[in-house]
Amino acid sequence: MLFNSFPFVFLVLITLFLFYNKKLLKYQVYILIVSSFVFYAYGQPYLLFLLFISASINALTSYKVYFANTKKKKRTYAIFGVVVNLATLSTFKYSPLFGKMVDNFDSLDGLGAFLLTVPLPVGISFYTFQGISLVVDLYRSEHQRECLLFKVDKNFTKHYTNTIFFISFFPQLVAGPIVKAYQFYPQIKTKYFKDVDFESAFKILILGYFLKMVIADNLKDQTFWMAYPYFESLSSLTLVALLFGYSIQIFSDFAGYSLIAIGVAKLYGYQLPKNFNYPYIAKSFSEFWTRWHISLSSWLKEYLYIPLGGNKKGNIRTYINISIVMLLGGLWHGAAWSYMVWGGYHGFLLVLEKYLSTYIKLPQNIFLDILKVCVVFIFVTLGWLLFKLPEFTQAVQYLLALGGNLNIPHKKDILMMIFFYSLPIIIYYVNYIMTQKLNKNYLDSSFIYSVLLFLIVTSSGSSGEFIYFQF
Amino acid sequence: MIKIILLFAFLFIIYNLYLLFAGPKIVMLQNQQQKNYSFAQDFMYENKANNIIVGSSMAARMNNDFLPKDFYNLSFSGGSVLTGLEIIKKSGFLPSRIYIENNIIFRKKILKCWIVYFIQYYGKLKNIYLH
Repeated sequence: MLFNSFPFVFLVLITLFLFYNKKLLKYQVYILIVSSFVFYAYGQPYLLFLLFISASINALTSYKVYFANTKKKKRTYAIFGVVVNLATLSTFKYSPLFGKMVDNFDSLDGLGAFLLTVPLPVGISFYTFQGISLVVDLYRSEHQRECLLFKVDKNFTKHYTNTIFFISFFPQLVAGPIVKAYQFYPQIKTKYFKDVDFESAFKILILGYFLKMVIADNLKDQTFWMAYPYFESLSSLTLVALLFGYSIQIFSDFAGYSLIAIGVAKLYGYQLPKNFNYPYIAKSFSEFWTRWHISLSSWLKEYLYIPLGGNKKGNIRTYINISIVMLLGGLWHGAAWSYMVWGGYHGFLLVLEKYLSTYIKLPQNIFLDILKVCVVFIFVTLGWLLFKLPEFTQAVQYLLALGGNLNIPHKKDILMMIFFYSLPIIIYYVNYIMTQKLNKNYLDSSFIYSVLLFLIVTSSGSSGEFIYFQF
Repeated sequence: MIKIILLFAFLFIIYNLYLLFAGPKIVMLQNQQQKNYSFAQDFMYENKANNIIVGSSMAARMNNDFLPKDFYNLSFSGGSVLTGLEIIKKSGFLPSRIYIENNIIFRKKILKCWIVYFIQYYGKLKNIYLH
């Protein structure tokens, strides 16, 4: 079920009505679980079973981790929980990739052909990561008493219900933000209508829908021409504009989705973590990753980079750790080698930046800051090419066309549309900088939000799936 | 929240009044989908040709100035033969001849669709040409 569809709005409203009904307050968690199952089953009913099994295994292993008598048992259960989650992810997400590797498809009855038919459950990358977070958080909190982050209810039925709820909570189920167990469990309690900040939720939802439906969906119809073989007949300037447009589109698409998820969760009294913090304003690649898909980068940092040793074991080991994390982070995005190359590309940029920063100390001034922002933006945008064109050879061809199609006439309508639909995002970023400098947000007014709402109603693009749904 | 909704309602009413009374002309179509919609509308309301070409972007790229007067090129970029046939069907106008351009006829699904469409037109074609 898409966030920008009428069935979703209907589901949110019905759930909201039941959720705050005074007679049903003690069933709030159950109401949200049922709504979440309806939301998930709407598109893939048979894969709901997998979600349910995955959440149940996580509930059981996390309970065992918490209440086991010995450290050895806790460790065994924790390892089991992590392995089950990773196995689920590998089986359903990477089977097609393995299929292509092991088979040359001489016959359609081979192993490769079978692996290609394994379905990809929506949101599997997100809910398995949440499962790992639950098991690991509980193992850590028991292992290191000072890090006790939340308590597990002794009553297994209650813990089981809470875990099913944590894994399946519909605003964040299919594309995050990835909520860590210690962020969510303490929030599970009775919610009251009077405590909800509807004004703030409404504004977040308007901004989210504006980013998705007006900016991303309209840019999608232009960046369509980046596909092979269309890009071959476009001018260099048009190709640069399309790449810029795609960079704005992917930001608007995913940041929009995250804001809608945060806004909807807020309606039910739950706080989801911020997922985007003006990433294209980053002055370094490391800063970019503290601003882009924050919930994933912080997850990778907490559950992979630090356990690998982080930056505590010397420079070489730090560079290796960064590369491993980014390669796996890249592969997390999709079952294609190009995603791993994309991760490796970012890993290389991070390592290079870290290496150079130990030898070169640049002075602080505004012009240099602007230059840094531009450099980071250009390299990040070039990286998105691997998202748009997962066939590696096509991405290379695009770059060759970008350098070679200098004499082809420009597509003025594409250039104009990309400028027009990117402009609000440029204003959005400039406003952020102004807000930081002047301590006043000029866009935070009822009039601006009413204009955004007006544009959602009158100027939305053709409805498209969220880019991150495929991950 | 109420203020936002009221301001939105005000803007929306002004916009609709502007559309109603000023009747602005569309000066630019933003994307292929909009162009296709507009093109399909033109056909529905204006076509009088008895020879219609349906096809994909390959046929859509033809220079229509070279076509005889009684020809209408109803091919869509990003569409297929089936798009054109569907529109002809909905228009309720049965032309004398339909010329088709198809470059992927060997795909099973397309062949299957062909049979379905052919059966739909078979009765009418039979009446025209065999009686």
